[in-house]
Amino acid sequence: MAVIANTFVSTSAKGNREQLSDVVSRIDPEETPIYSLIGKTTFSGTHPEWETDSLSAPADNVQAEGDDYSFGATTPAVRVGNYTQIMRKEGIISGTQDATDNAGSVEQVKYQKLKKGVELRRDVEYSIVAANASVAGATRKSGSLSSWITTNVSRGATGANGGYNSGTGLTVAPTNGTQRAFTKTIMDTVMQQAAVSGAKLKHVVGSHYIKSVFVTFMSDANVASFRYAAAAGGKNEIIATADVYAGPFGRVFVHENYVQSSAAALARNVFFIDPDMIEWGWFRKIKEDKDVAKTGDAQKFVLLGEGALKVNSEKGLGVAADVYGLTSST
Amino acid sequence: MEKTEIIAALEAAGIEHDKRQAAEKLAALLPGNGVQAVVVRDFWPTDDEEDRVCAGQVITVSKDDLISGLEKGTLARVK
Repeated sequence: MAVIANTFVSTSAKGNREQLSDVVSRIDPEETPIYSLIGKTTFSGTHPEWETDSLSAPADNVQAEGDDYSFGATTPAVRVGNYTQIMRKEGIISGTQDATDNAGSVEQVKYQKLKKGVELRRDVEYSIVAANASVAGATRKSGSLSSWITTNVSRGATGANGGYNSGTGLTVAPTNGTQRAFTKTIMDTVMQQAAVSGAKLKHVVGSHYIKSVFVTFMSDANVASFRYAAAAGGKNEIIATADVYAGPFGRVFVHENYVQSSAAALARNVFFIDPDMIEWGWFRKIKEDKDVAKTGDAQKFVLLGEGALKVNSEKGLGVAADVYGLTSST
Repeated sequence: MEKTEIIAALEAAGIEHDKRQAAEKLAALLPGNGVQAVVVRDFWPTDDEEDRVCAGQVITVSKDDLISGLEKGTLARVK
């Protein structure tokens, strides 16, 4: 085969239009499971505080006939608090670029604002699932979920709880222990502790790897096997997933969290949540700062929010820490 | 020196102390003995859930473990 002389081919053309698609693919997940699950509240300052109370332990209560009354001390509620964290995303795009016909409009201000808004929401999720203490002062930091939970906990060897320190008014970051595999025993242990504490857990949130390990629990000797009818000649399905765990100490939905799967430090914790026990509070809801001064031939934008995690009662939550969250050994 | 000897020595010196507490404090200072520490934050010395050491407990640890615990903020000195 040969091309006949002087056939004009496309590689010699000067005026062919570019074929840049207007469809821009962005598949990065936007889901923020914990932030979406929990309630939202508003704060009126940078150091929101609240109280938690508890019942005294049950005791033998037997009184003598005709006995005079005696009055025990009243135990005050425990006052705890967190610090609001300022989160911000910004961008600047030249006037020319903003006016240019742009494939998918991805390099234009309107699209960028939308994208940064989604990114900010993922940063809120990050601040919930990270393992950091609360920080007071000008560069405040919201104490993360794992820095609060101290009662319903399973940790690896040499691991230690964080917790709220009433002396400093700050939460303490937990100490990492030796990582181990996530098992049904660990899950049941935390759920048992939570049940004894009075928690009503409804959700379990961990990395994608944790979800894949959870699915293998269906092979446990103490778990009822799935049985599905196979239709002759039909398109039958292999069922290799499960989303709900009905264990001896409650029934929970298991969610995978994209934010936790993004880093080993986040993936090592599995959170057990009763959404009534935590809230995200906004002191300043995420919004655009409309007063950013325009200088030069460019459009600037700043999205900003300030909020903190409010843990109504840490006893209503749980964490299985120090588990392999990315692979079978990390 | 044993605890009983320490208590006897305290009594002989006429020092009024809670005997058990004083004996434990002094015994902890002897070489080769552990030191008393208060657990500030729950910690897990092993992977076994049963081994959880809860906050508020007074435990005897080696001096090295006490230093390590003080650094991590899991232990405090007994006052």
